[in-house]
Amino acid sequence: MNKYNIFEMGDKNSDQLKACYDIIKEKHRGQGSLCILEKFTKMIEDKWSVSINMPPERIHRFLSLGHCDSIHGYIESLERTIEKTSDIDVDREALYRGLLKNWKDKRIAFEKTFDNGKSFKYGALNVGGIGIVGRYGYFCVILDRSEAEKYLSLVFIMCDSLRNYVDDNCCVNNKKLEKEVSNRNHVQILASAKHKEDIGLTPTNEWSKMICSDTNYIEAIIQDDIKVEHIGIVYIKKSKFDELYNDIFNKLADGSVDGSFVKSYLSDLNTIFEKMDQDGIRWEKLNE
Amino acid sequence: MSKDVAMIAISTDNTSAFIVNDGKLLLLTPPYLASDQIEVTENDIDKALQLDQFKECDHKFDNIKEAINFLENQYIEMLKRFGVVKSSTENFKELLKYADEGVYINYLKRTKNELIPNRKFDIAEAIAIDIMDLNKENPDIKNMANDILQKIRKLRYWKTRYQNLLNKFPLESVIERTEQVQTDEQIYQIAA
Repeated sequence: MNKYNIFEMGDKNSDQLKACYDIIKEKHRGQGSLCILEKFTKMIEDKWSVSINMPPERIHRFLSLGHCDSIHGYIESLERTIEKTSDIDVDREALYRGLLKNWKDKRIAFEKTFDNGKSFKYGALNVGGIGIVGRYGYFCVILDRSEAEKYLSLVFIMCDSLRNYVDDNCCVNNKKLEKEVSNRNHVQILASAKHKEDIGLTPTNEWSKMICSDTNYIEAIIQDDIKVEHIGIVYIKKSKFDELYNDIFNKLADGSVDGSFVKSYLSDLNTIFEKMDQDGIRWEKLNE
Repeated sequence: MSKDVAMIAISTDNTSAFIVNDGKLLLLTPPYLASDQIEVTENDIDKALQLDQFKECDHKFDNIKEAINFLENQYIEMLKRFGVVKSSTENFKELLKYADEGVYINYLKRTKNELIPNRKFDIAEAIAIDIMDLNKENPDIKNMANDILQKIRKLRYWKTRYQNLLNKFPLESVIERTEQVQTDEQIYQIAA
């Protein structure tokens, strides 16, 4: 079966996106809102980057290995670790299910459709904010813009790849996908096309959340190696930590902190902060 | 004794579970804090089972705390198996070193309002000292911590010298009085 190249798809869709943007502009001009559309497009053009949300164990692995694995690379490295550190039989299927939950079949079908699909890494368009916390984890790695610009294989697609472009029979809707994909040079047009109706209704200070949140985002697909040196900043959900610290206090107060799970959990998180400090990675807790 | 909490399905990695507690269906996920206990429907459980995400189980616990303890142990086992993170035995100061100013202030307020009135002087003192140590460059926090230490010293003195008084009056009113009086004579007048 001939495979598609999603990155070429992104390049090929550039003219179509530009034509689409002209139509959107005309519509906004007619409605007297061209200025706000152009402000939005410029904001994306100036501020775009890619965020990747992760749970603690995944960012720990990223920092330790020095690069961000694809799903398959991650599973393989876990298998190697388990084989080295214990005598239990490795259940690859269970590892996949643990990581991908009920999306495993769709993910594999999606990646099989494309050249080098197994090496894809997934993130989201980010122009500020803490990303897709609820679905993927409360550590949000933001790639440095200048590093992301150097990637040879990076595309953005209008919505989540599995929820929107793969049906329940695991068939990939390439027709839809090829109209809703862009290379990095036109991501601002893709985002403007997606949010053309919402821009005027959403306060400017909420645009970043409109673009990337638990319920809505523009997916980024990367084939290049994502290295630790490419990290611009890591945002961490502050309220999660406040809750942990409160729990620690309660346990201190009733004398049950030693040996408690929450102490061990927080200690493990501290090792992530230590590693980031050692590697000179900027991080910040965010209220959101 | 009847077991009140039933764990009816557990994730394939054994770290999340559906439980029935007090007639409610809940999903528990790490790190098992209040916000990690999500109310779900039977439909959600069926779906998770159908999708091979969870497997059925039949564990009973006396209370939700026991169920959480069980999952916490499973989580630690999972981490050990993956060799991803190692639990450490850091002391309290180590544990708090990445907290922010808001957390330190909250700890000091809770120390003043909860630990001291309950006469938990040792832990209150340890918290104040460690937070002061972690915030050498922050005069506001240092002052707050210092006030707490002064108060604890005063109360310890009172405790040893005027034990009868502390047996007779609630600590809150004693604390209030310590702020107002200076001499033994005044103290005995209050006690009389």
